[in-house]
Amino acid sequence: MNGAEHPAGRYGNPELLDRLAAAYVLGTLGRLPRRRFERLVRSRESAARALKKWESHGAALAAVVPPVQPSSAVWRGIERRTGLGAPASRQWAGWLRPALGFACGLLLTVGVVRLQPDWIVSADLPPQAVLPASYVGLLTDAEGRPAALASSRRRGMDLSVKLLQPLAVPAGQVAVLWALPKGRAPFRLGALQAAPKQMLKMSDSSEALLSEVDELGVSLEPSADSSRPSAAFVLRGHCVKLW
Amino acid sequence: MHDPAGLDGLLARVALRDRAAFRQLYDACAPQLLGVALRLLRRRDLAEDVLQEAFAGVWQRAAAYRADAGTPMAWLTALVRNRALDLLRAERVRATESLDPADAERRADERPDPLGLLEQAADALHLRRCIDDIEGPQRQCLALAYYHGLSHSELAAHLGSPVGSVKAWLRRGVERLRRCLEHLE
Repeated sequence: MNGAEHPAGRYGNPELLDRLAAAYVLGTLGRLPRRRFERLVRSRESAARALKKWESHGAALAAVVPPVQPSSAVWRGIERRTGLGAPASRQWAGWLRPALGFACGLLLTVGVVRLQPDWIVSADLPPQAVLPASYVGLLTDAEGRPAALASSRRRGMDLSVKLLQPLAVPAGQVAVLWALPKGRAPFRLGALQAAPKQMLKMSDSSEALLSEVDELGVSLEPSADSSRPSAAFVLRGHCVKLW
Repeated sequence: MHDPAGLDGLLARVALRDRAAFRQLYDACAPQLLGVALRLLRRRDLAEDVLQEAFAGVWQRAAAYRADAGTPMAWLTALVRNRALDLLRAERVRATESLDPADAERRADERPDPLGLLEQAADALHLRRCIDDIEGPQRQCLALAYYHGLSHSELAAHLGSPVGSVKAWLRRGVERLRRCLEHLE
């Protein structure tokens, strides 16, 4: 590669990037140059590539270090920090609070439905006029702010999505909503539009599709038809069956 | 060392919030990573903190890991080393080193020494001849910098040489090592 092809300054030089990445991984860069190189990695794909290459060299050098068994306190600390070891209610606290008002309203209705199932079963009204949503998902953004609410009736094939904040979708990309079933690959629920309220048609009833799904996620995909998420989730959150 | 395919699968399941996979990933990788952190930080409490922080980060950010970005072990090693190096450079953790009562015991655990580790790595990578060709002081600086995280001034004190010489050795040493490792691709 010729230096003239890299008008973006000295960091366009692959040789220099490689040298910086090597020094970064070997730990011979001082604190400030380390920060500078990290910024460079975030902004330039070529720097990120050089770093990845050196990270794998570094791992090869590190592989000969004799292992040391961590004390059991380390895993307990990890569980505490991630909320994994806590009782279920603790893990819920983070996302449940913003949804609490919504859920309480639903539960009240559920209570009524449970106590008086005849009201529905024998009613002439179409079921969706009475039944509250059975599956509810609250998705949050990277900062943990509630960003979207998805809900569906148990036997319904419609998934109602409400965007709680505008969803930034770069030109040429599509926001796709995925269901993340426990221990299985995510599957596509549908593409999201910019509208604050929208309805996705699902391929089957929510009971059939969502009963083992404990999370929902939104990723930005090159095509609305992507069958597997190809990028990190920009929104993500728990999905629960309310009744 | 570790089966990269197995770790890849575990990490994918961790991204889907599979707790059992998270524990398996921890069991498979944590001892190796703690060894690395302990060499750098030389204090077990700090090394374990770094390991804990790194794994908490893995749980939050496993979805951000991309298989094309290198092996999971490379990703995890970088996570742990970067945290440990930041801690080393930000705080004078070394200053309290000699107060640690486990110091003597720790030193006994520090075999092989950094140069020995570099030689072992060279053997494992079939690069022994190339790495042996790096001049003594350069090789020693590299090994101490990589495995023990010594800064320029610490290297100078350790080797009893001026900082200027250390910087030059390191620069040339990194360059030589870079050429050796390039043969890996």
